[in-house]
Amino acid sequence: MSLRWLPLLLLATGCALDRSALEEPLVLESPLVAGGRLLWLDAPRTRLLTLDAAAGALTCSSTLDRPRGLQARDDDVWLLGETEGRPALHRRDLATGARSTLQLSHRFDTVVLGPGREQATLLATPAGVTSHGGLPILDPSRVAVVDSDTVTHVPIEAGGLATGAIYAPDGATVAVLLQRGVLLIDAATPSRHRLAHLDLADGTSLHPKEARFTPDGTHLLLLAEGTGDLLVIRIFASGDDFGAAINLLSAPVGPVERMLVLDDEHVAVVAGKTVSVLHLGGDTTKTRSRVLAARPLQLATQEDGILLFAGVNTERDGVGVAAWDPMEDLLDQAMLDGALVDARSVGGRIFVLHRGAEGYGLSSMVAEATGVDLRLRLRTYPLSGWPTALAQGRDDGSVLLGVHGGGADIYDGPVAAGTLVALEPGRDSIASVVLDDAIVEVGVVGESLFALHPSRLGDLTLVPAGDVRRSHTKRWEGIFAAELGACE
Amino acid sequence: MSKQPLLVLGFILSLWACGEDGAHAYEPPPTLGDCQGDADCPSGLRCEASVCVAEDGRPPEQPPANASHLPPVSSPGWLWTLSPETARVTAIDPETLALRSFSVAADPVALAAFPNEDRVLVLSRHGASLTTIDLEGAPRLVRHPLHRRFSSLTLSPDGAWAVLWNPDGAPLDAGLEGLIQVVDLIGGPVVHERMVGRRPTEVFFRSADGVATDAVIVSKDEVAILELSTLSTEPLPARIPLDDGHREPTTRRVVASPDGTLLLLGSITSPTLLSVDVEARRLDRVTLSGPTSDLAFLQEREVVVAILRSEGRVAWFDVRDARIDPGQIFEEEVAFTYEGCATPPCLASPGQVRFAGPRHAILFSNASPTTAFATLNFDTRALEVVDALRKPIRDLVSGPDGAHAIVFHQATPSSRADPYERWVDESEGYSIVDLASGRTQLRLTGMATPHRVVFARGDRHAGVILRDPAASFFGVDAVDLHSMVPFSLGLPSLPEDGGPVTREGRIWISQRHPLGRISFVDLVARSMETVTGYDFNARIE
Repeated sequence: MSLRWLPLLLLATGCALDRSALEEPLVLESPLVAGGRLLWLDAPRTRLLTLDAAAGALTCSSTLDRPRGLQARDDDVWLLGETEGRPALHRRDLATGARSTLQLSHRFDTVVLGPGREQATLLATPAGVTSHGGLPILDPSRVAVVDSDTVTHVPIEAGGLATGAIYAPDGATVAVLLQRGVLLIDAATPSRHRLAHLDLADGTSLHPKEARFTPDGTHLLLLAEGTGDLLVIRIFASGDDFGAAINLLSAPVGPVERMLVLDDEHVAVVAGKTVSVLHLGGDTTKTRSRVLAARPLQLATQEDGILLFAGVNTERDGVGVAAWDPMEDLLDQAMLDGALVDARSVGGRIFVLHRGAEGYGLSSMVAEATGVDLRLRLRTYPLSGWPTALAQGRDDGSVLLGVHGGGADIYDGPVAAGTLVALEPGRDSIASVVLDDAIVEVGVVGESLFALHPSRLGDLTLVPAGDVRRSHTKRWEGIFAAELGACE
Repeated sequence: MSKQPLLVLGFILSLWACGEDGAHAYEPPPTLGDCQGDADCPSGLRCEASVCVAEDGRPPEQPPANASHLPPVSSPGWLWTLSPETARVTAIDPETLALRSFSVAADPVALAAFPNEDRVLVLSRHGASLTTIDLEGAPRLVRHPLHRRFSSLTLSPDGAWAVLWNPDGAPLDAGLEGLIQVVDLIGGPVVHERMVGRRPTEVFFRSADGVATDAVIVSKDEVAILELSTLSTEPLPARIPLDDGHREPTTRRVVASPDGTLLLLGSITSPTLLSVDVEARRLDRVTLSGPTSDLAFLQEREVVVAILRSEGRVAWFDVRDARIDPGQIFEEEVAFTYEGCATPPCLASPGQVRFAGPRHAILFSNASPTTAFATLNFDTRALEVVDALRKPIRDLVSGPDGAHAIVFHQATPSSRADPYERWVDESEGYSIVDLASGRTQLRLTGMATPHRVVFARGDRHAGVILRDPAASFFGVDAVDLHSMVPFSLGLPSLPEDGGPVTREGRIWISQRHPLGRISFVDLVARSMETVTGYDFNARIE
């Protein structure tokens, strides 16, 4: 029996349970993967649930009051909250159990971790400002840059609220996206910062919606509402000088819809059916473009620089897939039958879920350059049910799939509620296991794969990634109901 | 209802509509467009076949078109652009493409760079102010109120003085004809207001030993000379009235010697040259054998070259000698025949002059469809005809080395049977010319018009800017002048102007873009970097 009725059952039986614990609804959120553990923040009950995949142990620990902004990297967990009514930042090392709490002078709701273990930036986002009705007012007029125990506040003097932040890969710069601007902060010396307003002369503004750094961290690329150009912000940081210059790059045809940073000097962009590689220095002589048969919705790059695209064919049914070598200007295109359901870029591949007359299929695409030619290699796996979850697998180029209703044709077992499929086309490896419940989310935690089932209390199945068999699965039911009455 | 109140209201509204500049009442000067009769033409020209023509039956020569925008200016380390719409000046480092942007007062209309300094002066018309932006050290911006509205700024060669004025055709300030301000930029700035005659057309400075001594304002009817050292005590300028034949701005040419000591005025309607000795405040007359269609001082010398188109001759002389002794005026026959016109014999009579180095003049005409030009060596008096061009000349630009020129051609209707030759006729294009050998190379550009040519430092490469707004095609040809091979590069938007930067083989091309755009083109590597969005850079704090 599922434990989804457990709270009512407990109430009915008068079990010794803290009644207040059930006044707030139990809402299962996607778990956060931290090293070999899955984490859930149960904010109403101020507790953190930790499932250690290797040890098979579920633990509960209390958090700060009004916890929010949970983030984790490896074993390091960051959390915002309140202690004695004052804002605080809590950190916990899940491996050693070490904990620390840093008092803050202002309230934030979002933690963005940097690449350095001690780096983070704290923000008050519009979502946090509007959703925390009972919370003391967040402070949207500044961000906090945290480095170890040092907190530096950087004022947001214009540009609207912070909507997100992104660190350069080397951690040298953090870019805080604002509603109408970008705040660039020297992460090592946060007092050095630059605010780039994105207001136009006609009184309108640009609104950043997606940002990416180049690998060397010298350029920040922005897609923004209000312009069809790609904004490229060059960051100068030398000696005492910390500056920035904005340039706008245009696609040869139409507004830029998607981008993919290729290297320190180039970005691939999609504008309608046209795909282009642009030089970040604005050297238009280095622009390469091709018009594809389908409008790409997903793009990826292989290690050899070949670009892969998957998208919708607007003229007839079908999923357009393409491989393009911009250096040699070689192109290969193909059409998959059916309608596009989803497409994911995983490592250097694109996986396409599509639905045709004969049901669902998962296609893996990769391109091979022969020196004089380019070949798009497609492999399609028919699915006997409809896909409910898709995620990157344990390795680049592998994918996990949750399938409703019995799994893929490759599984030879009885019809079941959900099947977890692990696919590694590069090694021609397919593994699957039928589970007792439908699957809403799949993922990798440590050496295990997990499948999350559709229960508000948190039902989950773990299976060793290297040995995907039903006999090796371990199911957890009612994770959120665990230790409702007591928590360390 | 009585009409009287309406009349009063109409009068009041008409006063209001005239505006503070009185621009409403201004009528633009006569242009050389279509005419119905002689009265439609400027004084001295007559109407023939609906065209205003000179004595020789040809229209006046067409000078290069004035820019409809404010071109960027260069200083040693920066390229400066002015955006009137946003009232900002942006300085761009041509090497690093770093930008610095500055806000200036409303309606900036003129930009000038101080000599050998990373410092510029900006004139704002509606903002009625002058702004100095200094990037020599830490960025510094100083604004000086003027309390007057001017449209043009002329900076003295030593950077010590500026004349603010409203050129003929620009709105006046408070309806005041001939009002100028002379700004002492060293001692203040201190502003001196003077009246200098109606409808000014040119402003020059005279310099002695590199120091500006006089400001010279040429207006429709007179030349006004202001001694800069006595401005605080002398309220009136020296005034030299012009002869009737030299009062029409559209038919005269005004040139100044390199140091501004001599001013010459020639006219397509008069064989007399007016010579103004600025230092002596004296007007002299030099009579040539025909009217002057073009006039220029030879570089670095006080030798002037006058084109006498109707006579098919060119005259050259040292002005000081010629004033005393007409025998010191040298004239040479320069009319020549060439092959390829529709109705032979083809006679070319040059109407314009360009210089190719210190000893050679290039003589050509665009008043009639001529496919040849000539070079004249002043020392040997040798005239060489270059008649290898295959299309009529629209303009000609000589390179700074004096060895090469770029000729812009005119697209012409064609009825030739050979489709290729018909296409050649109907296509826009330009020719690369090796002046020493007379060798030419035609480049056809289809519907794209050659707009500007920029010679890069190093004397080997030039950029020819092309544009076809109807087809949204914009580009630049990187021309290797030695091999005569062009290489086409696309530009992202409509090019407006161009110029060289310090690095050899590299040029800039400004383009029309709501946020500001400029491309830096490496003509050697055939690569291009483009900067877009000055306004955003202005607002990085």
